[in-house]
Amino acid sequence: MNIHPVVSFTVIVWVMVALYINFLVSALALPIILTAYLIASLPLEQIRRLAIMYLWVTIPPYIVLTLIYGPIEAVDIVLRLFIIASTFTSVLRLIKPIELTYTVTRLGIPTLAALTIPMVMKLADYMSYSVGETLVALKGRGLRGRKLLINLPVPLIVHAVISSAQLAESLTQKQFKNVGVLAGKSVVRISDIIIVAYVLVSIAVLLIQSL
Amino acid sequence: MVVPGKVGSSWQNPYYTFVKSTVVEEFLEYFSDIEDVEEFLDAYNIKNLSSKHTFKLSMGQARLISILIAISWNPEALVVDEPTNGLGLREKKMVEDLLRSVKVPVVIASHDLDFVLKIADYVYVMNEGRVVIGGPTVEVFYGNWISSLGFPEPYAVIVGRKLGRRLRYIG
Repeated sequence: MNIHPVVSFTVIVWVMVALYINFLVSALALPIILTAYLIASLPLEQIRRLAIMYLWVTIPPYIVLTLIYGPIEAVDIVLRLFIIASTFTSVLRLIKPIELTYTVTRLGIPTLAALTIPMVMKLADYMSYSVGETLVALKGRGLRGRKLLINLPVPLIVHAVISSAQLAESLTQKQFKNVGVLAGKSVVRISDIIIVAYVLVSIAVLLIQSL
Repeated sequence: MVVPGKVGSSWQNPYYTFVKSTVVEEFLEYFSDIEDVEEFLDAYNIKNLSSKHTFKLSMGQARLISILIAISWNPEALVVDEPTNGLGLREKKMVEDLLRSVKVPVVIASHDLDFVLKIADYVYVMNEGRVVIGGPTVEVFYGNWISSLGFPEPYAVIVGRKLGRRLRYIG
């Protein structure tokens, strides 16, 4: 179960716009639809992990924000946090990297760069793998406590990007010059049509309201 | 006695150590100004690297900088994992000289037996996570332990055996 790369881009843009203009109902419904679609394709263990992640994104911030701003304001902020987290998580999980590569190469972006993009999307996986090694390496240079945590993302992110670029480079060296074509054309599915229709209806509702 | 929190280290991937964009910036955390950093780098003949981007350093250069960073905060001991991994001959020599110049105890984990024979005072051989033999380097290398574990002996040891002498260094 996947969604078209262009549709994923549309989803992200629309959710951000809806949040900006305070159209929360529409902004919330879209990630809920996508999360439901994603859950339908996931095994139970991954659903459990996803649920834990969303609980971490919402519950601790809600407690802290309630103490600072009060319960109503906290709901508003946490809702936005949840919308952003669930939108990006669902979209990134639902995109087929190979289809994204194809779409990007069709836009005229060089194959090497096109291959790098889906690989960078695997950033989280790579970072979780190397976070332990990086922590030890930074402790070895005397960094401790807050300083250690502030500096931790630097080598992690740089390495994720460098590794992706190197992997892309090696793929292109292995005669994958036409990877854009070999990657396989992006397929438009019923789910894509429903999502686009939803965004169009939301825009229409917004326009009618503003008249 | 070494305090556990005061051990500097340089790991197999030296790039994990870097958090700043240039070599000079990496050291500014430990030195008061740029002149001091450049003087420090000059002492190790690598002043030319001062303005280089850390993530664009070659493996050998990155290894040297990583070890220097690890000793810059005055640790009580130094741990270096596979110091010769991916290094050219010249870079290997530079790392060797650098490790010799360090004033604190240095623990090296390495599969490069020639390098170990050259640089180590004591050797501990590990097999499947356990120390199987340990002692002064020459004793361990000439005690047939290395070959009995299936590792190829360094040429200095092979030649030394033929000459009936306990040679340590090649060249």
